[in-house]
Amino acid sequence: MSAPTARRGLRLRGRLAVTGLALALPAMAAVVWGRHQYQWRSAQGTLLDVARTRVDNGGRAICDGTVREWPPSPHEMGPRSGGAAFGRLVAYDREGKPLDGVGPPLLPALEAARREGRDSAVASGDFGGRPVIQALLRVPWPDARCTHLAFVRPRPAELPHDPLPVAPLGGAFLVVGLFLTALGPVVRRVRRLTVDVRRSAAGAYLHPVAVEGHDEIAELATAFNGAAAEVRAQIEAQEHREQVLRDFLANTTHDVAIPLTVLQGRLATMRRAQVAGEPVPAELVSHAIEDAHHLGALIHNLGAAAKLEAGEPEIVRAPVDLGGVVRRCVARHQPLSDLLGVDLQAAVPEAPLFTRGDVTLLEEAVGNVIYNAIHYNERGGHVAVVLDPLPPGRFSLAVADDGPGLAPGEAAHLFERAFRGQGARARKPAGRGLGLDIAKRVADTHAITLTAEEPEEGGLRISFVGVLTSP
Amino acid sequence: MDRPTQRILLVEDDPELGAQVVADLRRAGYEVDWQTRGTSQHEDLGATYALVILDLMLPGLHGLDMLKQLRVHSDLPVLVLSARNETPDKVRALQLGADDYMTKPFWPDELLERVRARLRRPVLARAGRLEVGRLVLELGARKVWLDGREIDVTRVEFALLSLLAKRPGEAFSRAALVAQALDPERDGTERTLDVHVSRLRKKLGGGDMIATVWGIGYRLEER
Repeated sequence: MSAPTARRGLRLRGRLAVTGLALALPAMAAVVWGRHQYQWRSAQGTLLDVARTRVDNGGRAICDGTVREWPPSPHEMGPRSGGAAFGRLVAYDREGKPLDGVGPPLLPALEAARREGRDSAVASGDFGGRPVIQALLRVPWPDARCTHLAFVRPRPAELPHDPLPVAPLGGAFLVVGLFLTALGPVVRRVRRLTVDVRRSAAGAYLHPVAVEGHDEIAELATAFNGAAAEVRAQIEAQEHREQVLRDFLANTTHDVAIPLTVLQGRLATMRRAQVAGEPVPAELVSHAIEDAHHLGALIHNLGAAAKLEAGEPEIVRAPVDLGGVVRRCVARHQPLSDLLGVDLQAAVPEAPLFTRGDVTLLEEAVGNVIYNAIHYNERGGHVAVVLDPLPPGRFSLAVADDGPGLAPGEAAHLFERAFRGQGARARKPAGRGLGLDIAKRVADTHAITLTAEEPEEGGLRISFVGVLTSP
Repeated sequence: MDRPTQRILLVEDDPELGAQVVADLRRAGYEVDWQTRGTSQHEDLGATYALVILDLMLPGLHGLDMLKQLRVHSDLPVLVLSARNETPDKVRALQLGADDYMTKPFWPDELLERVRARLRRPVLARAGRLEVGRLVLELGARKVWLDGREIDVTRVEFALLSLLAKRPGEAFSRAALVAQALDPERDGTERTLDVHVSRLRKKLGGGDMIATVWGIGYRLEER
């Protein structure tokens, strides 16, 4: 743990140092450059003033070649010979050559200025291995032998040769160093917070991190504690869902395994009869088909239950044509009702009725009730599915049968998982009552009232009553 | 009731399921063309087919994309088959113009019933006339003929009979018939409805043309 912490601390400091230097160095360079420019322009102005004075005082004679100031004595052009008084005037012809071949050549910058026709220019350079500064002036005498006079003198010592600001640069490093040193306690707090966060994460966010002070780092710690609480809540919700799913899968595996085993047994019996050349009993085939119906219903219910456990937003709500729901559910169960000899009929109004909900869940709910009404009925029995509008703005979807009905006291538990009525238990021992439990949960999810009543003439009538919406 | 020459296009990629559906439909008297890939539709399939049975998870073009293209050219009925019992698929299919959908697994009889429901011929209602089997109703003149012989019916009896005749073979709940055919101000109860139906049955020859549907109400048989 310590190595990565140290690395991250250094990374933070290094980033701050680089940032500080990146800001300080350009600023220092700009200051030094400006100062250099200012000194250079001042020196240029001074040199030109001196040069003009010298031109006015004896310049004509030098221009005509009657007087020469070049070459100077060696000590005059030395590095310690500063001062305008030691400068020399040199005359140049219209080609820019020293008059009579005497004098230093013009520095390239001055030669360029001369060609451009400028009246004056200043440049510094080397002559004979020594730093010099030259000021070039156009002469005011049209009849003179020269066109320009150059004032040449050693480069003044006050002009900086090296623009690199050693002292300011050192200052910049010093400031950044002090800044980083001052940051030490802050960095240590960030490191402690990092260790705390890692410890909290390792402990599944059960323990919050310590909040020190009232500054931004404290706000960061508080924000982390808030996020950790949210993560913890989501983890607990996920664990709950997984536990529910595990329980559901265990129950469903049991529910599927029984009819599948029975179906396998019946298919094996059919196969034996076929191999022996004996007729396959029609009743055996019917039971096998019924087993397949049961397995199909379980598969649908598995999907519905998973959807209900996941909750929103897995539940997709849209306008649902209730007449379509009834027609599809009846069509799906018609083969089963034909097989079992139960008359299944439905009635829906001509004008479509819509409610808002998840069409898959609503079909599962209605289908489960229809399935039970058929499954627990007797041959020759009836199941009726009726959809009617109920003023004001509601609907009633009722599934009535003339099956065994309910024993006293059973109505209160009808919609609980794993509950089946006495009559149902006696007739179909493999069932577990999952269908009505899902129907109830779907109804609750859609604010639909699900009720069971026993009509005087017998049987059971289960009704969904809900709110109509526009398509 | 269905025309035996009605042609159905089945689009299903699973070879065993496709072969089984084709066999079931042909056994029921339909002509079937079967394609195993989703393909682009650039022509009106309504000129060739009476119904399309369309799987969604197809190689090539997805079933929903095929449905969208199909709807550009045609309004022939489309029955969507889906192995995914997912609400968004159903909602999207209906929004794109599917007439109905079925989720797998299903029984052959269920599929045939849904196909028949989609291909059921509408009741002839030309110029205010309803014809159901031996029965003819003149809606404007409120007259009823059975086997060409005019039957004298009351206003309520005619209202009942015309309601049933508009959707022959379908059951009507007693509550719906009371609400739509009886006068709520004058004894509009289900018991009164039963009396009217009883009289109407006698006038129609006492047969089972108007059948009682257990737990629901009544239905006009199509024969």
